[in-house]
Amino acid sequence: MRSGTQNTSLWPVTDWSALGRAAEAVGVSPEPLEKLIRRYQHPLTVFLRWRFPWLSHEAERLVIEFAEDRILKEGWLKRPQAARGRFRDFLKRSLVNFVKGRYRRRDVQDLATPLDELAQEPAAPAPASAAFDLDWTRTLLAETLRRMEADCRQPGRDQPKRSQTWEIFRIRLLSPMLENAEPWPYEQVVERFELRSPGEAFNLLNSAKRIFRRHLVQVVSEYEGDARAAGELEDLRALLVKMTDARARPASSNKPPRT
Amino acid sequence: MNLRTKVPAFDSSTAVHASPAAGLLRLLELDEHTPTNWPRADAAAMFQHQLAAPLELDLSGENAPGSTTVEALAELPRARRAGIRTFADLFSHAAPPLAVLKVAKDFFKRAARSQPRDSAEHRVAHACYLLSVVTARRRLDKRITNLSDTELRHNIHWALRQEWLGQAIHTLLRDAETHL
Repeated sequence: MRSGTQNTSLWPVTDWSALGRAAEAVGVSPEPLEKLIRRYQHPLTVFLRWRFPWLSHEAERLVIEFAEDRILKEGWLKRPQAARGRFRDFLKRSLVNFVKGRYRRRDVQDLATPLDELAQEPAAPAPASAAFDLDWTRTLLAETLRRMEADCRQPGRDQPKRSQTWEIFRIRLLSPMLENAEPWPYEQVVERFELRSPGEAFNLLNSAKRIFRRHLVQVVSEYEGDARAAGELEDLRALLVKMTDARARPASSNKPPRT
Repeated sequence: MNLRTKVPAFDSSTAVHASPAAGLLRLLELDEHTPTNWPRADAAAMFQHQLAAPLELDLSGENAPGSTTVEALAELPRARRAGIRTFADLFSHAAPPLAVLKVAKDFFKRAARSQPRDSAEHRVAHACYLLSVVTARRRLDKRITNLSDTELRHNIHWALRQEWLGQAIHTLLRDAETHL
């Protein structure tokens, strides 16, 4: 069950519908469950290694056992849906309890680690937790961009410039933001997109920003709910602000007078 | 889309996962109010592009305001017959239609206000707003703004410091200033 996906994040976005399908499939069809377990195997393994460093050598096996013992158990997957708490927190808690329970049941001679050590909290949870949250944010943004690109490339939309929205977004905003790439010169953008006026460029970029924001809120709402999406985004923003040493703001000068 | 202009390959997931926190922060904060940050060096190209833009494209859209739009829309075919097809034509015509200048002024005022004051977009829109006002004043002897002459002069002085507007526009502005 080694993860074959390209997802490099620790905590993939909770896909509640996939979760529901997986829950329904327990004992019926293995395919959705395999997908689900594959998706969460890597983050759970990394989390387990952080939480119980002395069990690193057993982490992969323990996660597989956790999946078999808990995730594949009928009814277990429906629990977080009922509570509607944070799914990633639910998974983490469940894994910790699973590992502790597992070792309590083991024969004393098999124990490589004393039980009181298992009960201890990690020495430095804060930095590790921030690293989780950073990767979580990355996953959200990657998922948002994936959906936005698919949305923009969807044929049959009534907006004639829809397919160009993604392209101009990534050239003008995304690459400069994420890769510090030089923004394309205006003339080159006009040539590429055959724009007839600056207004067209503004409108395309504004549409792109609206589409991005809509997908971002949607992705966050899927695991936090609509009411708490704004708060979650603010929390993630605060985390990134904290992690960013210097936030360069463009200097302003020679501004035009009042219109 | 002109496919001869090559776009470098880009994978958003890879870019997100390779980006430092600062890049992620910029992206997370992105919304409609985020400036697009065209470099100031682009102001000249943007201004020329605006001057060359067809009037109908910008002025007959849903952005144009209320009753003035109807009047301006009626004027556009007449203006076209008089050889006024672009904003450059409008600002250089000896007798440009007042209704079109008014709606152009409103269009650029709104465009300027929708952008941060230090952006190229704002500067270009502000310059075009000023040109609409100045053209009405100089060619038709009509005041289409609430700005006082002192404020108008202040605006013209700002525009004269903007090299990207070019000599022809500077000449037009100097001429207008002497007739205020």
